[in-house]
Amino acid sequence: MSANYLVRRFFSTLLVIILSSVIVFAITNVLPGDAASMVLGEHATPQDLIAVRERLGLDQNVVLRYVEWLGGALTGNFGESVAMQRPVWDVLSVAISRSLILAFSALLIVICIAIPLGVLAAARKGTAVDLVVSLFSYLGIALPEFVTASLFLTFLAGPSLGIFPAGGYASFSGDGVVDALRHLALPALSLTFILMAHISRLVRSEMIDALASDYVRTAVLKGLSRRQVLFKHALRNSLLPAVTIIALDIGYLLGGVLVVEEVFAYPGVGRLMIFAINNRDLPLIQSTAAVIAAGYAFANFGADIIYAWLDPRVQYD
Amino acid sequence: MTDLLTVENLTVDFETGDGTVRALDNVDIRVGPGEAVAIVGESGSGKSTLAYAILQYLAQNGRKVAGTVRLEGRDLSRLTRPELHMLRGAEMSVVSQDPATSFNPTLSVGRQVEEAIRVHTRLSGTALRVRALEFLRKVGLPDAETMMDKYPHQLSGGEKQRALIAAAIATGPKLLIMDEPTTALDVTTAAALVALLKDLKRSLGVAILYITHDLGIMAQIADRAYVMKQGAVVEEGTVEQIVTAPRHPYTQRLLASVPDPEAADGAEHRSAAGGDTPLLEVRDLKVSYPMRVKSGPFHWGASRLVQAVHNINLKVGRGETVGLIGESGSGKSTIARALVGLNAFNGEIALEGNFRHGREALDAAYRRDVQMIFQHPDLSLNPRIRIAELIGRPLKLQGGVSRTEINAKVAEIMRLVQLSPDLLNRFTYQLSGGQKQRVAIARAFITRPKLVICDEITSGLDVTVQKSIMELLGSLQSQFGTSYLFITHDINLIRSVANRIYTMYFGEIVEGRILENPSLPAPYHPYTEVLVKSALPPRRALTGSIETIKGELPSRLSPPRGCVFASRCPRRIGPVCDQTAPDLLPRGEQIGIRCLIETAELRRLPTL
Repeated sequence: MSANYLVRRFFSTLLVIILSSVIVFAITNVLPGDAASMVLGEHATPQDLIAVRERLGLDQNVVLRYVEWLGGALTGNFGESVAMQRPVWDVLSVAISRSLILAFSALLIVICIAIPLGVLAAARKGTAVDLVVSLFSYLGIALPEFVTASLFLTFLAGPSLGIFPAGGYASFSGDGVVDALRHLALPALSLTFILMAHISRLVRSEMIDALASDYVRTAVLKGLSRRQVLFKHALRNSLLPAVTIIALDIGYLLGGVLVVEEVFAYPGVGRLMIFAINNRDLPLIQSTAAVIAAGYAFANFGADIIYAWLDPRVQYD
Repeated sequence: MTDLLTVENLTVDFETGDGTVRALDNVDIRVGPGEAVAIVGESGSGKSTLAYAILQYLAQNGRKVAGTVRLEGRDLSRLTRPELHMLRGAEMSVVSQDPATSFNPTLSVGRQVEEAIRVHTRLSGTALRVRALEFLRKVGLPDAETMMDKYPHQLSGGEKQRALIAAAIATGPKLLIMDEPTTALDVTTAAALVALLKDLKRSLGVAILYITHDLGIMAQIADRAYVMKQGAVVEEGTVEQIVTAPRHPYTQRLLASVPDPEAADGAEHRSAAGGDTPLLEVRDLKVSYPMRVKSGPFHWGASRLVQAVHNINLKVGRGETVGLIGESGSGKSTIARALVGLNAFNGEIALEGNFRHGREALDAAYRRDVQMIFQHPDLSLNPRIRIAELIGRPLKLQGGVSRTEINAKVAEIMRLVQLSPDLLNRFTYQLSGGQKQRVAIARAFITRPKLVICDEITSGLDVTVQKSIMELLGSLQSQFGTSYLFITHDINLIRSVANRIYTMYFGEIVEGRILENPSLPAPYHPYTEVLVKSALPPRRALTGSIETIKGELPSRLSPPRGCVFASRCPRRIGPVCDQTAPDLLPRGEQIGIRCLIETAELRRLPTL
């Protein structure tokens, strides 16, 4: 992987983030009506409107406002939350860290379970093992995360069992690892179901193709054991498309976070965004949307890097 | 028994959707230590199945019904899985057909060669690398150090195949199984590889089981051979006996189908040379295409125009067959594509004296008169359209022809190409390779074109099918007076049918000549000589030695200043060849030869 490739991908990621920030900013500013009346609702007095407009800087030129907002955002100043009367970044940074923990736990579970499952199903293609893995996968695809989340909530967090707490958040440093993990378990598992199905299906079909390829035949006939062939040759190539899909799934994960956080009352970015929308907190809406877009762009940047590392041909096309 | 490998009564079945198919039927073969044995046969003969059955590597739907495979007396089917892993790659190695897909694309070449050694030895670290380097050099990869760190896509096909051979022999196996190792390679690359194998056999004493459809290569490499047909061995003997005195009718038919310019058996289809005004004349044709040149810190470098072909002047007479020969990368298909308007070009193309400049000038009338048949009917014929529609479509596109007229013409042309009317409503996947190519021929001929361009149309076919296709083209030519521009890498095939041959190398015509019989008298271009000597027909291959050339095609981005063939030419004069670009000058009776060697000297060469 060349440094050039890295730099090139990095700049295109930045470009995507800037473009998405323009769209986020535009949507909340170009909508019919103005932001001040949106913030205050329909019973606002003209005096209040003028005051809010001044506070939000709505009396200035749109372009100027965007530049100011972007400049602020880049230095960590996202403005002031209207509803909470606190700097947006203070609220947002805490929420981001919690959501990241949730999203990465989910992703980790998916990678650790789905990829081996896919390999297993491919290696035992056509047997009962394959059938069970496939059934499990289709079940996962068929259940939207709010259903899975509700089922978990009913059966695993109900007062009768009470293995897991019904909701809320516990921090690793403040409340101890065990408590933190108990709070994290159900939301994270709810997020993994659909992704697990996606990725195990993909790895399975890629593995089956790879196992039928000439280079795998070459490897077998070199005298490599089945395990060496599976993991040294077939898996590496099968992971290439999986990396792309995992990066795209991060987009889904960010959406899923919204739902799951709400169901489990988990105080992350998703919940914050819903709060911001309910309270018509314009600066908070803009910032959370921009952060989610940036997270998505960086996830794909990461995927490109991993892809280039796995496949030496990439840098030449 | 001193045999290294013995296969007795081996019978293998495949379970398919249409029931059980017998792939191998009572096959008996043996290979002695250090012996080279060829298994020859056409597609479907079971020769590759045999190779992989010996390695105990059958497809999932394959089943051994009977028979034994013994290596030095050990019954291989009784080995446990770990024993089999110890044996494969150590005592018995394989190199398979397609070097492009036989390497894992994501691992470096060195790592994959080292892996083969590491599995079977205790070598690691430097010692492992040294062994890998030693064998990469042994297979004629001089720049082994850099080769180790490269990835498969950075190597040419010939280099990849050599690296695979290095991996196969580095563990010191007793038997090397080669499954059509040269089929995917150019003739000169294949010739060099065959020479390498003969050399390795001598120096390492390794026995070779060589699977091939090419009787010429069989004759060069093997001591003995088995001829297979539909899963059974029909004939065995020494190579000399099989080539000179075949006993089985199938072997006789196979040998008779191999194009051999010396076997003048009256089966020539050379048409009478055309009149004075050529049907097609090409003047100063040039095709270039943009190639991205990586430069600058962001690799956003501008694309540069590189020339695919240039200075192309050629003529096709009325009713003539003109051969355009050369290896991959020579630009022959580029010319074909330009001639039918698939590539933009500079220069002039004249059909019946009517000059046209550039692709836009190739109007509907021109396109009706100039048709093309492609190499892979599988790719050029739409698999979702019925045969009748496929063949009739050019007429429909032409317009002004009624449905019933089209149907009548389709029926007529199908009869001419010897396709049964039952096939009218079939799809291409229900046809054999030869039938598909007949559909493609019918489609090309339905507009009664004056010129048909055949782009490697027989190269994917078995020799017996190739022969029947060539006969069909001959009969269509004598019936309609059609001219052919026949693009091929097979100089033996074209020598017996062409009125004119143009030889191409690296985008240039290096030789043009007129033929009256298959012999190629001097003067000729050194590259033409190399082509002839790289692919000897079976009889010549028994005695004649093959000529091999080293090296690769020059780079398009930095084309040579002098003669394009200078870097690989066996008759190179000296530095002058790198400095001065020769012109295509008439020599003797030839249309032209692009070479710096004096005409008098070229004249002294023996007839090819």
